[in-house]
Amino acid sequence: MIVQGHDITGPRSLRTHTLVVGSGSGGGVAAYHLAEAGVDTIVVEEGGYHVASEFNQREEDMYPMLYRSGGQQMTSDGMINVMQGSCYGGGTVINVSDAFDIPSEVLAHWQRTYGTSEWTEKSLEAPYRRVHRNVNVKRINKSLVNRNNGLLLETAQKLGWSAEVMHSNRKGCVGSGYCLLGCAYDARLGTNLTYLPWAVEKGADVYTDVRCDRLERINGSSWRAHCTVVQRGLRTARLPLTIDCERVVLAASAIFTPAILLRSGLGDGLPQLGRNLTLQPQLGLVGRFDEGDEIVHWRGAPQSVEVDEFADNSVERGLGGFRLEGIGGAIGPVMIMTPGFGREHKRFGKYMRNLSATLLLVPDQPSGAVSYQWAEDGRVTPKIDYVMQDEWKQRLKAGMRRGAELLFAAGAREVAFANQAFPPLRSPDDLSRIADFRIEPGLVTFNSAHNQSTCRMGTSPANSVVDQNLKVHGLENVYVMDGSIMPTSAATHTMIPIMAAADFAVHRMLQS
Amino acid sequence: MNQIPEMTRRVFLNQTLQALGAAAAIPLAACTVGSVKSSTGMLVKTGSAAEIPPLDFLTPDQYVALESVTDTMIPRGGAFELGARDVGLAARIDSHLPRLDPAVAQGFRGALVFVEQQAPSLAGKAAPFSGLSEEERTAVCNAMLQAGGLPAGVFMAMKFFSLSYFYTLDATWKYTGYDGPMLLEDSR
Repeated sequence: MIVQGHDITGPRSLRTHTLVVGSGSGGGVAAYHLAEAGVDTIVVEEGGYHVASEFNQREEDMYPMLYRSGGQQMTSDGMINVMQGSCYGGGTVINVSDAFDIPSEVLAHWQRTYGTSEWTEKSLEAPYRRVHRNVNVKRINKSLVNRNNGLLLETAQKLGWSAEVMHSNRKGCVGSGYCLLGCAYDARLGTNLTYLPWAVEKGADVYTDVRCDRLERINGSSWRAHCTVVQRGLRTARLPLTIDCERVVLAASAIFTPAILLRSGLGDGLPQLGRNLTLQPQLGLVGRFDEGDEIVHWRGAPQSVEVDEFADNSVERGLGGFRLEGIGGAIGPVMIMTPGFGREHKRFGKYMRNLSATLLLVPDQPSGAVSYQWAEDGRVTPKIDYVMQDEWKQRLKAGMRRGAELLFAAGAREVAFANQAFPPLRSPDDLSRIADFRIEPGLVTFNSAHNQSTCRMGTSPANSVVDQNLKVHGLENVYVMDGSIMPTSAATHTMIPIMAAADFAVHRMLQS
Repeated sequence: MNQIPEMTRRVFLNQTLQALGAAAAIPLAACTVGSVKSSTGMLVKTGSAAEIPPLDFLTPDQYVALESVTDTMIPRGGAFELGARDVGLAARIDSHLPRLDPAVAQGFRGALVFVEQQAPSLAGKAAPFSGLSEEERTAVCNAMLQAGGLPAGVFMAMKFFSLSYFYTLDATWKYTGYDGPMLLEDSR
């Protein structure tokens, strides 16, 4: 049964065995496998329940409907836009469907640095197999590779750089291009179309428009979740709702899962809680091509090609180097990436069909922390503090140079970065100017789509928040199954790693 | 030039629209030449007779400021004739603000206060932003960018709202070649 908040007309008290908080990559997978095993399960999701017929492919409508803070959640210095899905299905409804596993070097790095000896390629084989099958992970059909991505592939090959068409979780994609705004064709197999309805079929209940505020320990090792039914859209408090349960699975993201533990007073003895945040900041590059050279970045699969020539994963640090990937499907963000304003800027509008859009992905080390303010009605405002490391900035500039080289080689007449005070490069002769690129709040905007590591996994409370079963250290029956458990960035795209982690942990939980 | 209170300055330094929301409630003394103080405390250019449509979120004086901002970001002329005033961009933004996160929307008011009353001084201008010529407003925006930090962050917010709501508007598409949503009913 799916219960939407507006159908709840008075305070409610519910009871279940396992409460899952969050319905995205982690929560959806956990809910299904629990329900499948016959465990009485309730899922609460703060966002609303929405279906394909509502997805009108208009940015001004879809961002407020499907994203946390309408897509305008920022780090405290205003430099990184931390984008999160916030609806039935969470991030799996609004991501660009890219499917990557955790690289072997990353698993080895975790084992060496954090002692996660039980997380191996072998132990994750079965979870990956199930996840890939359930959400239809396959290499993207070449017919969906648009020119924006295709020119990256062709040019990289000309330059002798490694590049390939990515895998994704689509089925029946028509190439409309609006993955970021919710798929109007139900072709992206997020948890909203797979794990969640399957969980409901197995008897789970999903409550949307319900925010979990805090947990209270009752009767020894049982829990009472104090929740709030919120008004859809503005998220103002409507009604109280409590859920008594034997077990809690928190899957509310690396930004919000720590908030629930902290507000519950459960942070004592967990010094890593809310710390070690990784955001994988991404920088946008826009290439302007000749008027006759139509790119039309908003059609086809928005992100289908990765240039991984400069990826540099290692056992010592996990993900490293940088990658270039096409991006598209939303015209507003691409226009904003282009620098300047006024009449001079309108040329980017006139040549919109000739603009390419590329993302530079530079994996980071844990570099941030999250703290919170709570309003009287329980509404939580995260303060996301993030410090860019010097080594990361160096890789960023190296990536900017390679990205611009690639776009000029592809035929771009100018290359702009998402920096309002940095004039576009007009030719390869301008590449040396990248050394002067100012990485300062107010001037440059990065995007983050993969927040991780604020409840990282490890061997003790001293170095982590959860153990290798994803159970919170020192707390009976409280688990975390979202991106926050990754000790460092798991992959350049984290949906599949989070799904596999939840699958792995739930199966262990059920076996025990 | 009015000095912004220290508390607000620190709030501004957070650089988020949420933080900027605090500014919307701060009363500022009217002392700028060529301006009047409106009922809500904002300075608006003297003799402003802009036609103000029914508003959903902004006050009339905030609307006047926003119209000047959008006109600066997307003026008439240049690569194509259509500009922000031609499509009622300020009214479009106003109509969407009530649907946004309340903290973001309130922060947008604060950002408007900053642009209207504080930013002109960065370019040596004493009048409020909406009382300046287009050339002067352009100079103010360039000064905001060059200043970095808070002024640049506010500029970025203004650009974000202006461009997002302009280029997603159907009336602009024939100038840009954007062919809009692809909703094939047969496939849904």
